[in-house]
Amino acid sequence: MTTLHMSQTYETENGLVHMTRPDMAVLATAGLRERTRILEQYVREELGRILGIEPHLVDTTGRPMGCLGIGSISGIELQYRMEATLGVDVNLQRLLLANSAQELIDCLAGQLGPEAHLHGAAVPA
Amino acid sequence: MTTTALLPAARPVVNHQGLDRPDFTLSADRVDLWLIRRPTGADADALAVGELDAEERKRADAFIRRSDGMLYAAAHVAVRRLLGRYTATLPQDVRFMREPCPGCGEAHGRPALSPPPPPLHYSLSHSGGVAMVGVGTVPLGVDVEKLPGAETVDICSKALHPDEQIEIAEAGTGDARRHLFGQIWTRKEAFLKGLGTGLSRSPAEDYLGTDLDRHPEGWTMVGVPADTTHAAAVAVKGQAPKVVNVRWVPDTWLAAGNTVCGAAAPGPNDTVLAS
Repeated sequence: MTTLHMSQTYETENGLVHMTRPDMAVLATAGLRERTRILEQYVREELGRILGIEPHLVDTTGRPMGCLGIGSISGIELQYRMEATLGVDVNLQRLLLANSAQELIDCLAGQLGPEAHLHGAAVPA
Repeated sequence: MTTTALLPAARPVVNHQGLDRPDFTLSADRVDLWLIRRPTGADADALAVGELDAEERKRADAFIRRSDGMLYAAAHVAVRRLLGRYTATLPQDVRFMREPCPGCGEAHGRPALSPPPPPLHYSLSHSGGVAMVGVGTVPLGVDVEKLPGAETVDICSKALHPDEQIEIAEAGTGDARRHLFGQIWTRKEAFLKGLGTGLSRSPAEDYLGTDLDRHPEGWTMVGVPADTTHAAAVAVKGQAPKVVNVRWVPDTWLAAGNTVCGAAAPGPNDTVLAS
């Protein structure tokens, strides 16, 4: 089995952005609010990398994924990156059709917390 | 006893240079493909966005990158003007619907004209500054993609059919690999759009690699010459068309104020490939 190289930095017009992998141990025990905060930062970084903009400039609430610039190829890349980093299954069609990045963040937060282990993933792939 | 030799299905001839002026007729032997470049400068200012409906304008304004919104708007102006010419309808009066999804029956299958004007079928795709519209008499799908970087190719290849993954792995590194990925991916997405499933059908399920004889039965996939930074393809259902005509739409043809309906109205001339 080959291991994919996934760069953890990307360029913007304002300089290099260093991405931070979420701490899975923290995610597994954090409350929903903290988990959502960590995942929002992570999703901002992944979307920022695709868009070539800084994470804080990514609009997570007001635009569907297509309007963020996520097409089929970048959607699959995002799916595989999130699956590799977070160890969860991500449904490609739901990712592409999400009404906002926040929808995606909320899905991931539901899948990754202690509640998910008790009750099953909130948003199965 | 007689034997019948099975002849390989004829491949369409792809014309993209020196084409006659388009007549906007439909033929079972022909598929028309129209490439659109994102307008810039004065062409962007002149774009006939007033012909878009409220939903299309809202969507065009919602793109986080203004350039993406401009391409979306240009692509949809082009769809309305092109389909308007084929059906003798004013662009702003062209209406759209979704066919039933072949998977679940819900109304999110292939886009189509409403009410359906048989036998016209169309498909639209846009990516990275270029859009493509396909028009024919049978169900079809088109896809155009900006060629992704090497790391994206490595990651996204894992989503493909196992034999496609092998072909890409054997393509070496650099541009050859990116181009092969682009060719396979656009054939695949064009096929899935033609089916009406889109990516709800796994990209790993069907083989659209370099061996054309192994492509899904009942469909013809054709690579489309776009420009040096994009790959493009069309998938056509049923018997292969004899001809695929590929033209670039001049930016000026998408400007407000142009008369685009009626037999005497101006249309895109035969155009040349991008440099």
